[in-house]
Amino acid sequence: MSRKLTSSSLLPAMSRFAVLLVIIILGCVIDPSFLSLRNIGNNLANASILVILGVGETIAIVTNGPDLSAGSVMTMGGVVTAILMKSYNMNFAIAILAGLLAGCLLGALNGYMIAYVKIPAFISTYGLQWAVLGFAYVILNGYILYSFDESFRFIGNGWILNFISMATVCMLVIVTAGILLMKKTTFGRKCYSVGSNPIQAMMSGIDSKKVVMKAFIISGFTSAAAGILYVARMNSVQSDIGSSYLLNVLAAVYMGGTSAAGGEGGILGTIVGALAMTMVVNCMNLLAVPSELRDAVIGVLIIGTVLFDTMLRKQLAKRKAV
Amino acid sequence: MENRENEYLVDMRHITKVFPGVKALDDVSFNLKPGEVHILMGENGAGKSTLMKVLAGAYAPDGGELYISGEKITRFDPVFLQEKGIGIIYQEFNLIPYLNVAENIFIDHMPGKGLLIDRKGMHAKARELLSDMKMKVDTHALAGTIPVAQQQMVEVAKALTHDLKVLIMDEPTAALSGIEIEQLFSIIRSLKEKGIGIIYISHRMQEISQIGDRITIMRDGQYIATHRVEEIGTDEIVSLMVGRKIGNLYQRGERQKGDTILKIEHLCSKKERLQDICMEVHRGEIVGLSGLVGAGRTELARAIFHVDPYEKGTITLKGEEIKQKATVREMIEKGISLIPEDRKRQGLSLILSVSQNIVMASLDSVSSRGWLNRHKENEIVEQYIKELNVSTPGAEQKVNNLSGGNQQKVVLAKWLATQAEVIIFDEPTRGIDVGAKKEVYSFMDNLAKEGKAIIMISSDMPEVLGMSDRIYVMRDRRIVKELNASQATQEIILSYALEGARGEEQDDKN
Amino acid sequence: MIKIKQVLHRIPLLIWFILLLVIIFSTRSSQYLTYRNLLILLQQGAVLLIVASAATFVIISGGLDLSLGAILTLGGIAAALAVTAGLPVPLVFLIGALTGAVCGGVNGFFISYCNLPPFITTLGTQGIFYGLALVLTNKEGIVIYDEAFLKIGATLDRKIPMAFICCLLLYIIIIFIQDRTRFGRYLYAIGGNAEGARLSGVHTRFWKFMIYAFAGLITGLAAVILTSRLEVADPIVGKKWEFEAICCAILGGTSMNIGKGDVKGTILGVALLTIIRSGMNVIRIPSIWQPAILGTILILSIVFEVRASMKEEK
Repeated sequence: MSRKLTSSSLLPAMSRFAVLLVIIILGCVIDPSFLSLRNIGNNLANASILVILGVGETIAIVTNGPDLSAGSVMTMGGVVTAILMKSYNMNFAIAILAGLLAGCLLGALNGYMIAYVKIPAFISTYGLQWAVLGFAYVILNGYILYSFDESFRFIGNGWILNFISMATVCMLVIVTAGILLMKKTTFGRKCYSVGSNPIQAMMSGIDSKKVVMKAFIISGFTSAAAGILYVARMNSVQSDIGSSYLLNVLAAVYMGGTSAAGGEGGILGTIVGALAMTMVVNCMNLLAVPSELRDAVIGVLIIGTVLFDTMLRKQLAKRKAV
Repeated sequence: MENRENEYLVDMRHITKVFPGVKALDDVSFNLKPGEVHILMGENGAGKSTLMKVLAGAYAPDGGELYISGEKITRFDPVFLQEKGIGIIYQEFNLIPYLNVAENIFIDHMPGKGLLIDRKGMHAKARELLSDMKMKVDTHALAGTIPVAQQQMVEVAKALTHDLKVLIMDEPTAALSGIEIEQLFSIIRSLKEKGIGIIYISHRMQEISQIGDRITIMRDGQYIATHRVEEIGTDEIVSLMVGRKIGNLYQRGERQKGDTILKIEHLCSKKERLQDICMEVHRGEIVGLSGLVGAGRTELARAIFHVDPYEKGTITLKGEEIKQKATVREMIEKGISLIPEDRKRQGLSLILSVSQNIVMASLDSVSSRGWLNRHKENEIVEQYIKELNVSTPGAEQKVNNLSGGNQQKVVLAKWLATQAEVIIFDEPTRGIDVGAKKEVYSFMDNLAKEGKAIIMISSDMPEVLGMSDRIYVMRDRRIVKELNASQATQEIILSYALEGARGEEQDDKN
Repeated sequence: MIKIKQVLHRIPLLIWFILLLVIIFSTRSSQYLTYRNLLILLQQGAVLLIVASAATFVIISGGLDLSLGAILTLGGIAAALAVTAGLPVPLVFLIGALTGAVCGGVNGFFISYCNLPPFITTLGTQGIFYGLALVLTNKEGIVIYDEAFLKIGATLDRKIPMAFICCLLLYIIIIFIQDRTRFGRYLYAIGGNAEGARLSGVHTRFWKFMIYAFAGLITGLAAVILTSRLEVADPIVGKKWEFEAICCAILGGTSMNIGKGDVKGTILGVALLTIIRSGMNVIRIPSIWQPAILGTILILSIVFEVRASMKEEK
């Protein structure tokens, strides 16, 4: 069977890689060691958190709408795991499980509000974000937790080979699972179906409420996983670790070609987007862009990509019409 | 020549409009004189509405010329053409639900000084306009809360606030009762006297002689003919609209009527107001479901398919009574398919591929334990692409890029892939070209021959007559008559479908 | 008649709830029902009232503005810089309003003329505006000493809540704009049936752009008042404001996506929020818990409100 890429899907895909390439070249110009094996490895490790966040975010956006609570849920996952290890001396494996569970529960809460109460995703998740942040603050009681177990930290900082870190391995596991889920299972199909046309999905006998619910639970899970990985990498946690990630992950997902309208896009694209975003941050480090301007740069990037995407689609539609 | 141009209010010449995958208008010419009612007729999808949207500036044409009062129009936007005197009342009204009647009437030029609206003045003017039309509407009522007939009057009043030369009405009587239609006609007559030209799109034959001066017939995006109303009879209009003899298009093989497969008894629903529906369908037959728009046909289909709830009555499928609370998915599993009327909204995901769409309602049969079996999927998809002769570059093509007819075939494939035994077709040939229609008909016939049961909802009379073995006629949310195909004619069906409207008219007068 | 009943049925519920809270809080503290406490409440709620009105306008029109908090921040900083440069008060207001309008205009441009989804656009500009705010202030608050300017937001003679009076005035003007101007009416047209309005000859693109610009403008004015009341322009002061504003709008009966709502109802949402916030101190909830509890209450109230309005539509 021929699975030819038609020009309409090839062009946007190419434009993503073009963006990535431009950033890499830019990086090389700024710093010749940009493409060294170790720096690539470092970039991959740094990208891992963003990529893991992106997996869930992509599934949420494909199915229904953005999960704007991703950053806060990430914080919460990290905080729960950290506090259980620190204050309750729990085994790190159990603590991690608890952190992931917290993420799933918060995701379920989002799913409930969106699918059953029918509050638009960008309002309900935006609201949950603030409440969750409040609770993370309560749990930490305003403190910063640091210096964790060696074995826990290995998850974030260990290196298996010279350029493959444990973080990268974690990322690969979650990414593979995500891609399999979206491409090879009926659930993935249903996500695209519900996201592209919910009425059609309903008429096809798909229970879109359940699908949306599951999609946001997955998003909660990956967000928490990203938070736990962050704590393991940084060896410390405070209540604002996730706040800077929300814009980054949205930029990564949209840059990766996932459509804000839903039903289009995928995790592979998001990985490219997340790598590009990580390199942008890397470049900003190399250029010593002041930290206060970084959100602004990423804001510009988000609007720029979506704008570019919208215009590209318009052009393609026009060309088809003639 | 100069003179001739000025004689017409509107002169559209060789208009062409192309949408992705379809040529909606192909070299269509049309004109309108002052003070005449020019009726525009054609089947669904013939291009009437598209032509009018070009005239109103909602679409820019891809070819051809438009003259208004002899002036060549090169700019196509609604505001500009409104200034040129074109008013249009769309089928779906353009009222704003949470603005009041007066505000809706003056939506684009609310009277007042500077930024402020002169509310008193506005309401007074609105009342004046409405009373000129002999309409009693509270100008303070929110537009979303008044009855449909009044909403339409508000639309007319809205058009009249401009220096109106041409008024386009797209099926204005579809939702009106007898008295309301009379009111509308008297308004149309008074507009005629003022020299306003009216373009009137309608499906109702009897209205042509009542209100029309000339009639233009369109078919499949093309101009067919223009006649004076008194020179042309109903039969001729129908044959021009259809463009073919009824017999050769419809397929009717040797169908074997089998045992009852679907039985509906005393079905009532609150939400959709269905009342005491009883019907049965046998294997190997095509049952037509006829009636006017709004009679409740689609609603009945949705209730059978459990998309919408019903409170009373039983549905029995293959001898097994179906629970009221059954889900759509359970209905699919039990062997019912509903091929919806509005394929773009309800039948397909346009941005997904042909293949993804075809297996969308039968994911269970191409997967095991939630894992898709690509091999199986491809097999099924290829099979239906071949069987239905879907012309697509490949199974991975986005449905968006296919023509209307091929999109409809993808919808059919999707619902055949569920291995349904009872298939409900809701307006199966709306908006597709004749060639594709013929294929759809032969396909339906084959299904019936295979022993499947088919319910066909259709507003296209020749289609109902040509395809059905039995016909149920619906009116006012109930079934009013069951006819055998051999006894049925257009006139008989229409008389049952319309009786209610006439009856009500008399009730109102009493 | 049914409509009046519905209105009577809806609004009192919120008012009863507000009253109930007031009673609970006043039994907990003898200080609660004093004029002094009322003054504090009025001063605290005043600026939110304006930002919530901006959110209401945007939501009626079927949109969303997540950058309102950032505009509030940036407007305040612009005003503070103007004051520090020695400009007179009217000019400071002008600069605040202009800053807000420009920010809102940027949103409106992308949303209306480039067809970008509102939440992406305003989330992106949120980042940009905060970034600008941090750069302009060098990450530190700008403290204001100008006496004349500080009077705008202060409680004069411990009796006259100036911030409240200014905001109330502005609020009345906003109501007037909503009810009496074309612009105000087009909010409903764009939210209720934008395509219909366009085909009826309304320049929907322009007016949609104007909605965001206007929301920015009044938020900019609110920012000036806030800066005067707080006596400092802080580069992160606006965090969370947009969410609270959206909540107040929804609590006040404005619905998403159907072009329904009224800025007159928003004041009830603001009142409720302000009372809850102040009440948490009265019943001695530790400050560390307050954001979590307030966030939870807000989410629950949206869930409640949306469910109730859905039932009503049925």
